[in-house]
Amino acid sequence: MSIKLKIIGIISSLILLSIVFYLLRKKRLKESYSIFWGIIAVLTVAVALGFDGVIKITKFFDIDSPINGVFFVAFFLLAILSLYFSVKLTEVSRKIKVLAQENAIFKERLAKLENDKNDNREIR
Amino acid sequence: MKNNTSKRSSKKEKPKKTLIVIPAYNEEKNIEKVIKGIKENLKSADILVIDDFSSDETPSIAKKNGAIVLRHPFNMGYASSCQSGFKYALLNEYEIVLQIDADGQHDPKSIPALLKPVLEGKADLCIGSRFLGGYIYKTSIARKIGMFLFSRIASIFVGKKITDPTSGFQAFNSKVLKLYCTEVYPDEYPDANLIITMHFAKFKIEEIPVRMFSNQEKSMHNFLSSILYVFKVSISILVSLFTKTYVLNKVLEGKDEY
Repeated sequence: MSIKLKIIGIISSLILLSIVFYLLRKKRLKESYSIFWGIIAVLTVAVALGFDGVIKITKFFDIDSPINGVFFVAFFLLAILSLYFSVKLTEVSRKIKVLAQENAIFKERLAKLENDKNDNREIR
Repeated sequence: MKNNTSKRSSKKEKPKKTLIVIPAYNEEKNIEKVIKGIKENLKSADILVIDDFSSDETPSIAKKNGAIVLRHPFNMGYASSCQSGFKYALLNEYEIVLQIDADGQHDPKSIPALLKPVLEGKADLCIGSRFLGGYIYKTSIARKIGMFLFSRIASIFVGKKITDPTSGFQAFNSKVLKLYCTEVYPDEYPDANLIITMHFAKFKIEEIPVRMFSNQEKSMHNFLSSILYVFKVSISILVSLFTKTYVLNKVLEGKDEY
């Protein structure tokens, strides 16, 4: 791997890390989600710096081009990440559904209690 | 002793606390007619309209006609609206629940017949079928194929003929109500998958003929959405088949989740 490519790899991972850090600071990303992105950034640096190791690993698995191995791992990780977020989305939408249903029921109950209260006042 | 028993039985039984659940979304044209129709056919029940964040006058018309109204804070869909009604029923200790659509598709005259098997204890869940009484019901071809397919699948798993698994016109008791208030109740389509689940939960399911009117405005589903519908319900049926033990455990737990 050429020095230029290594520098691009390191710079892009640094950009990713700074975006993650910025989002964390602004409270737009939860700490638990930042771990995964941190790992991605570290892996990008590791691939850029230790590309010889990647070549050895891909050769071991009989992959002709080392970049194919890198793409395969990256695709797999992103697929896992998408699945993880689909699960999280399902969980969150279910929680929102329950909250909205409770909200509707309690609003009706509150309105009823307020009506009863006003009726009692009128009787007195 | 004998005299006491006969005296007790001769006394008129207290009517069971019944709630009519109507999920509604932008139904200002039909809701009044539906509520009036219910009142004409069933005097002793409370009527609950679940307004799924309508942008029209549905909630105010429903209130004006004497219904209890729950309003969702945003649009959540048909299944969630039904479940909101069920949760309300469970919270307010209703013994019998009847679900009916707000678009005037279901004939309120069928309500007493639909309630009868549940009141008599012959069924835990009674489904109104549009295909049993020889009535003609018009709908799109894709949906017809879906209905045919799902009725066959449901019949195989339930072990008896289910002619209308997509019917939203049904009555059930508090045992079914409890399960409907858990996450067992589907998020999107409470159709054949739900009937299979209820069978796995060992509930007695009956189907009776009811009259349904074709809703020309809404039953003209486009082909793509019908295909998507068939696909989603098929997945839900598959999921139902793999959650039999889970459902049974939920019933055995018997506690109110809500």
